[in-house]
Amino acid sequence: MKAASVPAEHRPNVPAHGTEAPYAPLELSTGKRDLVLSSRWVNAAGFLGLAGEARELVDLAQLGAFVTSPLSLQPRSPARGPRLLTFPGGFLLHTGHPNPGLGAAVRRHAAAWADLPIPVIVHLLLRTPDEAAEMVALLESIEACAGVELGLGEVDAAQAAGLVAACVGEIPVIAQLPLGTPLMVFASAAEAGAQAVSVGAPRGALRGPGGGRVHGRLYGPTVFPFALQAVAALRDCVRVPVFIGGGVYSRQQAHALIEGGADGMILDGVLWTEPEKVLGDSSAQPA
Amino acid sequence: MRRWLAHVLALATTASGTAAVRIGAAPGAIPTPGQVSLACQPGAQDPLRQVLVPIELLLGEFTCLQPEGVRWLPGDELDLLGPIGRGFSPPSDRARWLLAVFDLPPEVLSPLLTVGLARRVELAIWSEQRGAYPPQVEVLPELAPAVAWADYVALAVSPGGLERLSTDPGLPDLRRQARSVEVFYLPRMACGIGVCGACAVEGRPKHPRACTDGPVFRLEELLP
Repeated sequence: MKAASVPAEHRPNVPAHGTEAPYAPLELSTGKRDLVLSSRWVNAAGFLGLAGEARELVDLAQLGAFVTSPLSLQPRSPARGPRLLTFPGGFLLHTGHPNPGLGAAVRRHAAAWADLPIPVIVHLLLRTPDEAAEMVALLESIEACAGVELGLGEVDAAQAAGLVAACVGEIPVIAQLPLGTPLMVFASAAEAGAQAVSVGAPRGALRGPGGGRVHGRLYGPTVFPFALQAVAALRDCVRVPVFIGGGVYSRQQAHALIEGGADGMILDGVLWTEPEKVLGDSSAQPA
Repeated sequence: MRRWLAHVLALATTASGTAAVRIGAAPGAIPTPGQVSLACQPGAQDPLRQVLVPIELLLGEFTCLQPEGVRWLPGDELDLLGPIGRGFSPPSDRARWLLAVFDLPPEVLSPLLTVGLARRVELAIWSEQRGAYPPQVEVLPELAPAVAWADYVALAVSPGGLERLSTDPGLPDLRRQARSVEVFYLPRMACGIGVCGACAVEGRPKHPRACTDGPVFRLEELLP
């Protein structure tokens, strides 16, 4: 299993600056394959690429796991029209999750996944239970895949349960739903067999350059208060580990989420600006 | 590409009236003509880095268009990421350069203009906005005749202007008439490292990203 081969010096679990008490490693297990996160930080899917292309920005060894960009069964093209809009304190992304498709991604990147210093979680874009099962079956043959994160999108409780149930098997499953999803949907995903749940970016809309609405995922510091409010409610609702992010741009914000009940922290926009503000000192700082 | 600590030296206004920022940075952080940089203010919790489009390049400093909405002041520190992407690479054997700017401040091609002056090539410029140019540069009222004259064409188009190149009946057919064309095309950029897809070019095979495959493209990459 991937995590077991990671040298101890590459598995920091101290919350960065080293003065705080370390968090214990987090282990998600199916009994057949284990996902061990030595630190509680993970990247949001789509922020560090498919195989660690962002090494120049982030010391991957500081993360507990590397989450790939979202992968669909078939290749996807970029969204048409505006894909990035900003607003005070945040930004909206509507990229369409362009990707080469799961099969091509595995062929191109599985070897690189095996070489990363941390476990790899493959983020899957799901549409139907049959498609979900096909994708997970492919990943079960890839030893470097330590976990899957299921991007469930905007679904109801029954749909969430169906998608998760189709994926439960050898690989630990993390069910991701957008911030703002009703708690019962998270609970349904957990009851269907997810080893953990994660809270993705909330959805929103902004007026685009042409006057029409552009819908997409919202990021930035303005999201943080909503994440902090959500984590306690979610903690009371599910009995599996909870990953949450949303607007975390400082260590204090990360600790607030952990104190609020989060088991893992999902970092997004800060990875493209000043990751050391959360992860602590590393070589990825301006010189 | 890497991160650099830089400083705002001064705020300025270009000849076309556009706000600009002079930035001091290490020589390795200075883009080449056509490349860009991304910047945020250390400790400011900027949601994203801002895209810096250079309009003047010097040793140890560069001037860029001021990103919309920023309130940087002289003395402010900046965390630069760059230089980003692929810049202009005019063939060395071309002697008649045409620079044309669509829907952007004409200064975006000024760094390339400086290269042309240094190479002593014949230079002509066409822009929808008024600019100030050295006397060696001919300012053209019409684009079409110059396309036939030039042996190298550099275009700068806004994110919304790309389709004009193939659909505007008032524009010459660059694909047929021009010998060698490079296009500065910069959709809104988020990550700068090719992972987010925000600056992907629509409808093109392999969806090239402006941040890694551009922002200077060969014309045939954008208009196959």
